[in-house]
Amino acid sequence: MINRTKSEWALARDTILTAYKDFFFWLYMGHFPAREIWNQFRQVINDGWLTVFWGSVVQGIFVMWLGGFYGEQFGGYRWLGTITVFAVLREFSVLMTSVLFAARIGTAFTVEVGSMQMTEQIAALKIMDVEPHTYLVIPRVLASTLALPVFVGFSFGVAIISSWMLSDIFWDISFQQFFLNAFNYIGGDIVTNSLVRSFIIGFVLSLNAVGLGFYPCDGAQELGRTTTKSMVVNIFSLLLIDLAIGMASTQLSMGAPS
Amino acid sequence: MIVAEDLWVKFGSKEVLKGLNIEIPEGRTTVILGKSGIGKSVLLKCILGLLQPVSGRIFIDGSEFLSAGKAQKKQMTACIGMLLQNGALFDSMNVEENIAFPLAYHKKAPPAEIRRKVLEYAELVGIQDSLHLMPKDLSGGMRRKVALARAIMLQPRYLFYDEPTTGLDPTSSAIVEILIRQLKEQLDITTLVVTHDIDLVAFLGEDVALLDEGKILYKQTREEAFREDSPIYRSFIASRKRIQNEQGFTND
Repeated sequence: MINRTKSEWALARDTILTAYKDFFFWLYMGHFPAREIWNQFRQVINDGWLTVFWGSVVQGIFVMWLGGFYGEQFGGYRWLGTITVFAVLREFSVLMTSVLFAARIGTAFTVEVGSMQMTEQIAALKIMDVEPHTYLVIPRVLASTLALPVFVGFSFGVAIISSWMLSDIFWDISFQQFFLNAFNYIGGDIVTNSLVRSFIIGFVLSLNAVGLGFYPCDGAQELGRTTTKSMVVNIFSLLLIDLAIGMASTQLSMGAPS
Repeated sequence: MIVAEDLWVKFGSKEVLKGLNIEIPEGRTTVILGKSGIGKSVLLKCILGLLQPVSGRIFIDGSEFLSAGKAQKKQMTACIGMLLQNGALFDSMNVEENIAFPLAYHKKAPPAEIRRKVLEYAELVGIQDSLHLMPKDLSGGMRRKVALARAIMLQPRYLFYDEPTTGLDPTSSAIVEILIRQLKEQLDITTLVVTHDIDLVAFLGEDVALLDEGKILYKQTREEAFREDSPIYRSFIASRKRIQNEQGFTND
């Protein structure tokens, strides 16, 4: 039976805050579930790579197309390679991969933990003296924190290769031309910036998603609504983190074109 | 022995338990009988620390549970196992992994020893041929058997059953009932069953308690409870006949 003295979103906020508090408490108190983290990491990579692959192909084509179209209008489309690589490395890969991650992995976490709660599997864990945060939350969150930068790195490669391959067909730009200036103006700090952001985003998105799994659901409809909440909360979190780190890093001139 | 004293539980403004008192004597099977939604499962979850009552006291083997620290609570409830409604098996694990889970997670025995125990308990509950199956492939009765094997892996002294036969066909119910009784006799486990199933009460209960209006209204031995003049019989067992009669549906 569930205590319903708070509004839906207030309860969701409390559930997420409790998840953050419990995560750090049990990370400090509990044993480090290394094997479970490795299993979850493989599971996340396995579940997400195909989605990230196709998302990155489309993303590469999209950036290449817009770059070529407007580049042609302004007579600067020989910079297409630079524009595409910069857009992908600086923003698009992190943003798009994180959205796909929230949709593919985050919602799966919310539904998995939520249905475990509804079918009393979490109660069963507690009865067997297994702390659900140590067993369920920490492995999923740490695995995701490591997996998102891997996905983003993968997305860099796939998006750039797909745009490079199609730029010849659509804009008659040779492969050599495409890469001629691409990396001359783009330093490693852009890649570092994106990987650091994806590391932080991976942590926040997965903890939000797993945490919302503990939202007190009393049926399938409510679990569905909670899963939607997980996606909404994660998109806002992603945008806010991206904005904050983006602003901070440009102020520090990290990740700006040299 | 487990004792609950003056236990109050509220969900929002709804009071579920209102000063409940009960003693679960060691070595016996106590059945708590009550209508659906009356707070039977809530009582079990309070004793296990899964729910926090508003007030009251719970003693497990003489030690006060609710005021104890986290580590102490874990120690106190380590001697209690529970069969949850529908088994609560882990979907991602097969039967063998489900049964082995408590020992494997806590690394309480080497893998070979865990495997030996899984086979022993699987045989005890009659699921030795289904170890490779996933929970989705199991019937309701099989799920309860697997959950039962998993519940006894940590060798509890007390075993709680939450509606163990609900939703099962009569044959599966009978098998589960017999299993509960066998486990109690073979492993010397103090058993607490909450149910609304009269047949289960008749078959298992050594002590029968009636939970209603948030309290244990009566507690009697099975023989006393099934006498026609007993308050438990009159208020619960005979109520079905009375309602049928009142509605004009009599069965000759």
